[in-house]
Amino acid sequence: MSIEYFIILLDLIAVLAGLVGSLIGLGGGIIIIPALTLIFHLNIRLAIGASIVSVIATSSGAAINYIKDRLTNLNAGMFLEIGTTLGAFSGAYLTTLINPNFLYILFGLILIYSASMMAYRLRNNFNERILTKSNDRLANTYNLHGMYYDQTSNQTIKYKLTNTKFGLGLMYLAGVLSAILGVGSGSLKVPAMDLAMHMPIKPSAATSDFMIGVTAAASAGAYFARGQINPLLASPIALGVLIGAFFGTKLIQKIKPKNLNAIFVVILLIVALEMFSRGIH
Amino acid sequence: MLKKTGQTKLTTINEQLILRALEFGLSLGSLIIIYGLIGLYNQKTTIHYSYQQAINLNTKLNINSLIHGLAINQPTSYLMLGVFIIILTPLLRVGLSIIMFYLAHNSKMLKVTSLVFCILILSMIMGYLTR
Repeated sequence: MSIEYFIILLDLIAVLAGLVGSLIGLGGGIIIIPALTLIFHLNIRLAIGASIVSVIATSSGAAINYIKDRLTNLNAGMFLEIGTTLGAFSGAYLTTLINPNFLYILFGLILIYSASMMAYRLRNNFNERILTKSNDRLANTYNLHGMYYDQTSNQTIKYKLTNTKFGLGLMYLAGVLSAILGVGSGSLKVPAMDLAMHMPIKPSAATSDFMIGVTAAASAGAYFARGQINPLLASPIALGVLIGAFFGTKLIQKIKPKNLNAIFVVILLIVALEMFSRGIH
Repeated sequence: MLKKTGQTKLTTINEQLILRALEFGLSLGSLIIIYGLIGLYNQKTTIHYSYQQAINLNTKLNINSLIHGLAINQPTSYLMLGVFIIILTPLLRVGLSIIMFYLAHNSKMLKVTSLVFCILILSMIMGYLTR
């Protein structure tokens, strides 16, 4: 295959990954890595290096829209970035010690976890318990509480945060996994804020995207400096994912992604099985 | 201080600055990548990369060779620069937030963002030293 066809094919896959990823609320990484390893038979480490750049591009693009919509809790995001960047910093070094077969298995587990989180969200219409008081010392000291305008209920919702230390610990874990697997690990960050810290789901998703770019930059910087990021792979993918995510955010206003989510849960499980079989062989 | 964006939404100056940093980094990085990809396409008559050569490309960072590649208009060097700018975009955002918190005399958040900035820089330096 010539390089021109290879790049065009990569671009098309990346556009699709960005489009679908933004519609179902997952980053491009969870689609890009299986595509590169299963379709192009690339080494998983090369795929991770390419994916982490696309993760920065898409999450930064999404963060722009969320900040404009005033959904992002900037103080909480910046505070929790301490955990995610420290995690990514450790993860970028842990990955050099890990057997690639284990990476396939770990990625398969993350896919199953993401699928189960999506299935859980499909089954349960959230009954959010919004806190109006909080005794959490860190949240009060750093003023991590927030508010947002909810377009569906047409009202401004004020919320308080709690369990900040626990949330910070979970963010560290999310950072480690993000660096090791080249994904945004939004499927871990959102529940850490939403379920553990009581941040409502909409600001949780927005704040997660805001943090993903910085988290990924901590490991991508190390990967780039070490030469683990191939520009011929990473650049068309980053560009394609950005284009796909741009159209995805436009499309999301017009379609109901619920059915798409249900289809994607099944796809994620099939891909997870394929990744497991790669890890075992 | 709040500033109008669009018809109804309001954003703070800090949010505005973060927005501009992200938009600037992503646009610049993408434009340089497009320039590099066009260059790669135009170059195909003189240098023919195969798919295998592309994935086995030596990508170990060497700043001197990157600068030299940019000077001689080498497409892969432009692709590398575009990728590097996208990676630096969140760093720019954190750096600008430090300045904003300093100007707003918000010492608590100044410490938080400075710590995040230091971790990011340390991660890049460690990566370069252990390459």
